[in-house]
Amino acid sequence: MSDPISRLDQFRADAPGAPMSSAAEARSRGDQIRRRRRAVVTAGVAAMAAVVAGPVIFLSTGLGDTGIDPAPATSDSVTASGPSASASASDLSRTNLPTEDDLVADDPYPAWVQEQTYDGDGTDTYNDCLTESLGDAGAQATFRRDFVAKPGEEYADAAGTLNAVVAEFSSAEEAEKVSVDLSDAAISCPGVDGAELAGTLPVEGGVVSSGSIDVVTYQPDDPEMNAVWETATAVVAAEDRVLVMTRKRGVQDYVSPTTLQTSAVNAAYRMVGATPPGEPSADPTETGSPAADGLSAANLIDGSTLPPLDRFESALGWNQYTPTPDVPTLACQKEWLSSLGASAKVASDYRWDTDRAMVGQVHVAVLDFPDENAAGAAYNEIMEWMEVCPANELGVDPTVTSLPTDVSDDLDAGPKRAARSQATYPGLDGGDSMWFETELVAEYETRLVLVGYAELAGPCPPSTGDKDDPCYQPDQPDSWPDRILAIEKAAVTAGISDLR
Amino acid sequence: MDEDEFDVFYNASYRRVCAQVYAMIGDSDEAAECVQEAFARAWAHRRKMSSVDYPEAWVRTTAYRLAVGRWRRKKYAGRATDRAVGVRTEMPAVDETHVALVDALKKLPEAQRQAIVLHHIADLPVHQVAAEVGVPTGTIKARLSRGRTALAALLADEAPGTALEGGVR
Repeated sequence: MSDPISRLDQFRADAPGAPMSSAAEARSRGDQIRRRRRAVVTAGVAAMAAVVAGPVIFLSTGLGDTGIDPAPATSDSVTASGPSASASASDLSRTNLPTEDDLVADDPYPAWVQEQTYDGDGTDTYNDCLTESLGDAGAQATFRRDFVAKPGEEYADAAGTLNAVVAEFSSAEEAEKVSVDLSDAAISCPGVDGAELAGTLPVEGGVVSSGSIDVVTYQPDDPEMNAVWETATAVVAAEDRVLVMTRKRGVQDYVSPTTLQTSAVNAAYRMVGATPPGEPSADPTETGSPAADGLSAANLIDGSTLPPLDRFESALGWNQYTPTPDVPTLACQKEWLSSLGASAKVASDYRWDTDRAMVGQVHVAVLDFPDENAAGAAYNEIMEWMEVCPANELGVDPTVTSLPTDVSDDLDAGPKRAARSQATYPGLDGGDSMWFETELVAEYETRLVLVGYAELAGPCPPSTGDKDDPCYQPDQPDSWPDRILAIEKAAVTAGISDLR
Repeated sequence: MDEDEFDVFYNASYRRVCAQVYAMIGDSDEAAECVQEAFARAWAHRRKMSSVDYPEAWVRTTAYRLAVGRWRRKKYAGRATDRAVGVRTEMPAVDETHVALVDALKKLPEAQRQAIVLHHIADLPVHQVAAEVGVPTGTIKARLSRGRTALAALLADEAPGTALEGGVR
């Protein structure tokens, strides 16, 4: 076997792959970045001065209400507060901005309410990370709307702020190019010293041609603040338009901006003049997926029928919850399930907690496809995830301990195909604890049922009752295999109940 | 950080960081562009850089993030390189043993690859790798162990004669 360490040492010694370029070039480019940042700040100050002068002019012409109202109803009054002043060829208007109904507030914060609407990028920086305005990026017209958590409600002060800017470009290609550049900037966050990338999420589906959410955190200027700033930037391209939605708040830990994901999709529909898909959902994995037509709660496992995790005492038993941040249904999942192209999806999640930690997880998703071929293709894709285990959405590296095997005969409901695999991944405590996850995919007609069932143990797996196994634990119940099968049977039976 | 200090820093670190990012992402052109851009940003933030404990780590992390951002948009790979310093440069041929190593690294999961590159190529101790990646040291040790095992197997699979003999570190 080739020694990898000597090869790595040699690589370090040779430092291959890059001809030297001059430090002066890097400095020149750095100076350019600084000039651009300064230009944005100056533009913001000039815009503020224009707004201060605005009401006086309007009042003197008898149009005081219009001048003072921050959000007149139509876009006909495009003013010189931004690049939209030259937007005569653009169809973009304030009606293409998201409304309060399009936005999802994350628990426990109150609903977002509209605070102010602007023609142009607004009078102050709308995003700490972006050093270039959409006007500078070539937008023909831009509009911005700011939101705050409903004042007076509990937790309103802690919710932070949210704003959305929509912009129209000369072509769809131009819009996509700008959105890529904006996403790059949101990741590297040149506008803030010391910003750290905390996470990313895709925004996809429906009218969206490309999109992502990039979250950075950075230290506050106020040393007394016991939290860091978190800026989540959603950049979405749809047709020839670009949406930038920014959520900024103080947080003590990274919080997945899954609600922003749903809000961004809704806002993308609004931006291109389409109706957002249904009511806002708190389930981030539904982002970009069509509504769950044809599926209902009856297709999901009934939590009260789940077999107890008898190795651990729990006051609540199996408790339904919404994972935050979101977790994949299967640990080995390469992408969110919305990538599979299902026409409908329902999902539910349960956890088993002791008084100290979560020790069991059940994740179930039921997907319906337009036809059996599509369902079959998705099944094959999921099988590949279970074999290769890219685990792009889990955040840790699982190890596949058992490759997928056919278990269709084990499941009472008689699916066309069903496969089970097993994987392990580290627990959060950094010690020996491991999650032992069993993953199942079952196919029946146009339907797939996915079950991810994980129990915490380690370093040995939960006892199977096999006395020849070096990990056999006589003091532990041997119920793990039966529990796995019971959960899988119940999930598959419910998942296809309306088809049989 | 003044001009002279920056130039010393740049000249001492540029090739090394390029090689590290190349090992992480497997594309030497892309690595060079991202490192150049990261150094440019370091100069743009030079006041802040004066108080950074490990400027080279800052540049490496920034370059890697830029590369990750570009990866995620591979379908737009044909776009102009206007954000990088200067024009795209033709890279010299890289030793084939290094190409094989980088190819093998590319087959590792991203987290394992990053840990191996930072520990074995950037020569950082485990606790510093953990700090740079933002995970516990135990996790880094596990990634290093799994990554080395997988890398050894991948290198063993390559064509005979391409392996470079060398001592154990």
